[in-house]
Amino acid sequence: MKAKRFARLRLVFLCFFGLFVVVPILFTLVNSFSTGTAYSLLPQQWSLAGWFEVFLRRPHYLVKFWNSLFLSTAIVAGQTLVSSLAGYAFSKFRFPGREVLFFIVIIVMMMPYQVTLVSNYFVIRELGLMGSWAALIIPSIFSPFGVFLLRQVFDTCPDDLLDAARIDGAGNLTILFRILLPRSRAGVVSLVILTFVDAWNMVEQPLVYLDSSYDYPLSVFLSQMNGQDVGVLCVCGILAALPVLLLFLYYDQDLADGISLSQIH
Amino acid sequence: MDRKRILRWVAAVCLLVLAVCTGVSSFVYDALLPRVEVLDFLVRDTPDPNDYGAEWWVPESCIQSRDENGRVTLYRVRSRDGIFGIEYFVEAIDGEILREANGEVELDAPAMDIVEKLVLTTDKPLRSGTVVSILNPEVWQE
Repeated sequence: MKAKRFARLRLVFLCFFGLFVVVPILFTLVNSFSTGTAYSLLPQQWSLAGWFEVFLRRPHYLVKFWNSLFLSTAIVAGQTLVSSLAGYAFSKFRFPGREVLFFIVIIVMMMPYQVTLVSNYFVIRELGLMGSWAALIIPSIFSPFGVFLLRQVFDTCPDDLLDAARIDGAGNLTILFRILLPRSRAGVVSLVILTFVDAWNMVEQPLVYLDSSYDYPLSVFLSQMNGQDVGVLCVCGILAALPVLLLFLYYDQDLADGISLSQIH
Repeated sequence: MDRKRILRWVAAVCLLVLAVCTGVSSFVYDALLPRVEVLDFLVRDTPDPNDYGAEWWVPESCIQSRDENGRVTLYRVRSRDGIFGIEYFVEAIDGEILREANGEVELDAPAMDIVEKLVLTTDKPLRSGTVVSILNPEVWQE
């Protein structure tokens, strides 16, 4: 009886806090059907003008969406590759300075992005990449968090399995791509999702490295849309949330498994 | 159908719809956007060396509308930093014809400056505030 009451109380408690997550999304959805510059709980006049403006009247909003999608996909692909190679090396190879290097990786991982922004800027400028998407993609694919996560995940794979593969003639890359990565699916998926969300929402890097606002991704565009029509703004918000939502719904179980796996070790 | 399969289909349909909408909106936007040729206008000195006035002579094609009383409307092109970057838009200038000669007209247009970027030709009707595409951007210098 007491356990039942506690379960009901817990449900009410969780629903109450769940509202804090759901209400802003519903608010955005409802206001996407309104016009004017003022937000309201319910639109005085329901209208599809915002949806028409974003999807059919001007291509610029969708171009920003594709900019974001291209950037995020390139960053995720590059970071997954680089982090898996580095994580494999840190996990399965013994070399001088391994622990010191990994310690440096952890230190850099804990630094906020703004600490390395200035030095990154000078490097990008000297490389002649300013104003191009390479200025966003190249620094982002070298992520200490990805190296840390995959190293922790690869540590869970027994060395005997890799030794057996080596005896059968498998090289290092074969071991990585045919054995380690498939076995570490949960960790790789959690890296993919977290990296995608991070890349999808980046604002400072495009503002610093890109010259033309035509190349800005959707996240920067949304942050600059002050005083615009509420319907248009909310539709752009829904557009921005859509890929992340679909990705999370697709991989939610893998994400939970990957994060809990890295915490165990 | 399991959940992941449904989500794959949903994602594919969403991407397809967005791609189609991008294409359609690009086509419609380009089709509806007025294309203008810009004239780099500079006021002329009067021919009389003793007269330090100026004359506002513009090609006749700059006149976008005129009425029977000689009142005309022409358009200047301005640029602004919009949410999508630099965009060009037009502003109406009202004036009155003083003289016509050799395919040009002299105007009395108080709102007109001594240097202007005027719309020489356009392929669609214009209104103040209309965003336009410039056919000869080399004339445009900031």
